[in-house]
Amino acid sequence: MIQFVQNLIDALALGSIYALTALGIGLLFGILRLINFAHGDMITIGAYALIVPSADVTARLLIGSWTPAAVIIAISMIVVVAALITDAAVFRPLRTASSPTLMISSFAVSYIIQNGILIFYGARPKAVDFWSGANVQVYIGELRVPLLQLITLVVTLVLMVVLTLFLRRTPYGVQMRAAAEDFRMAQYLGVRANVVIGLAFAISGILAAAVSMLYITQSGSLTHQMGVPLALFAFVAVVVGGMGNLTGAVVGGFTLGLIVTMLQAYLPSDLRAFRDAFAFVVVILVLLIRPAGLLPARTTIERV
Amino acid sequence: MTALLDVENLSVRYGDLVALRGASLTVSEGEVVCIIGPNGAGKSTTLATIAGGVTPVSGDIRLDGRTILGQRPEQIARLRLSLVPEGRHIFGTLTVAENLQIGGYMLGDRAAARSDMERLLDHFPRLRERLRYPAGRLSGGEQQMLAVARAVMTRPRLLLVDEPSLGLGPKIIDQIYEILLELRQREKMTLLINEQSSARILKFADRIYVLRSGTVQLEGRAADLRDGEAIRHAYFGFGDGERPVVTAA
Repeated sequence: MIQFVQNLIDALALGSIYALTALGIGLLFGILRLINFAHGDMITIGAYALIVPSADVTARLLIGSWTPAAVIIAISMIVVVAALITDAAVFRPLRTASSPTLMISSFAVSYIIQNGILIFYGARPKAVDFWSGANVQVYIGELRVPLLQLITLVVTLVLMVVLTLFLRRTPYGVQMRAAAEDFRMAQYLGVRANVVIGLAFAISGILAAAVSMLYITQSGSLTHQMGVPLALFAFVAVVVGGMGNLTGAVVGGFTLGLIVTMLQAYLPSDLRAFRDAFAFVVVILVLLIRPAGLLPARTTIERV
Repeated sequence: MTALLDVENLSVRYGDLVALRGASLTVSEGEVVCIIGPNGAGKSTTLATIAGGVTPVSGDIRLDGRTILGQRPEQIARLRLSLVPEGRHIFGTLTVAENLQIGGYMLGDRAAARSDMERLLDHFPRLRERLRYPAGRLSGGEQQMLAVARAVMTRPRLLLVDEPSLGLGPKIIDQIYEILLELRQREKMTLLINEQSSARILKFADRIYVLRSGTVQLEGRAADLRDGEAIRHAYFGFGDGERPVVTAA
């Protein structure tokens, strides 16, 4: 029983990472119909911004050595700026392009970022000792829980509550929800397209920065492709949860975290190497039963 | 005197499909002008193009004598020109109040927007009762009223309304027209309305344009067209064999 509860906490922590990443992808999809594969590389940028640019295998901290508050602010700003630059340089000129064109462009952005990192940091994975103090275990009764998992959960919850309040309570949030539902109609009512889209990129940047810091603290290693599997899993989470629906992205993220963690824990040890294959079998089963995802986007009920 | 709105030789294509071929019309300050025509005549395209949602291949659109071609919809909205599109396009997952607020943000003055909304809701008691509801749960007539109210929240000088009666019962349609005309008086708005049938509109409109196959077939003062014969000819075209019988809707 204790073992199962510990697995559950693992699942929540992993699910948090997927959910945060899926939120960033889901937000941009909702507003721009952009499936942004470069979102994973925003996470990579946030992670590499922590260290001194060099080809060394052991990374020396740069921004990462500052006080936690300064680190959080600096990394968030760097990733937000990077996200706004990709919008201005790539996606804004393609505003009227179709959804597949945007998706292919996001692949291009992704490769450009990865290769840019290769140039400045080299191709070898780097070990990094960032906030490793958070990796201690705390005891809750008989449960042994890594402190970092608790931090991850709390950070995820806080970000989700703040994002929800922003979307529900502020004028810009209401405009973003309107634009996500019917972009053209929002424009007819004076909602500025570029402001709303820029905000969506900025928020997705903040979410990516949070994942950068949480993920690096946990894994302690950097590679120039570290964001790719995260973006892939998050994209799957978005689809499982139901496209075009932020609650769905979060539910999908936690569902995926649960599937992956439970397979890791309960698959026979010979099969654990194929965990992800089993995870995707479960994903396919979910989609066969609910093709529109767990929480399909609510569409406008049109009545006569 | 320059007209408030001047549409000159407007042509619009969707790929191979020609939606408008050289349509022209003018609307003067304070008028109620109606465009009538069958399905596919280009009525919706005309309004969407004026509001900046569609880019024409040729022609010009002027507001107060200045061209507004090439401006984005949100910029045109700031020139106090507002569109209530066909099918209403309510934000169904937002509440009724949020739908209305969206229209007011453009003013940049929250207190003014709030008092606009209060004043406007006097015309729409049904909406006031449902302010906290998701707008998608409103009935069709209520959604149409919300679409009109939301557009009026942007304080338009010129309000474009695309087929307000589409899919609604006659009682609701009467209510909507009553409200439109009341609002026009109170808010000093000029109205340009699309309709498929001329029956109701002849009572309200100052002038009529009949649009068919992307061109203006007939233009005239509503008072001169009351007998309906000229409209029928323009609406269905000449020489199409047997002329269909028109019953007043």
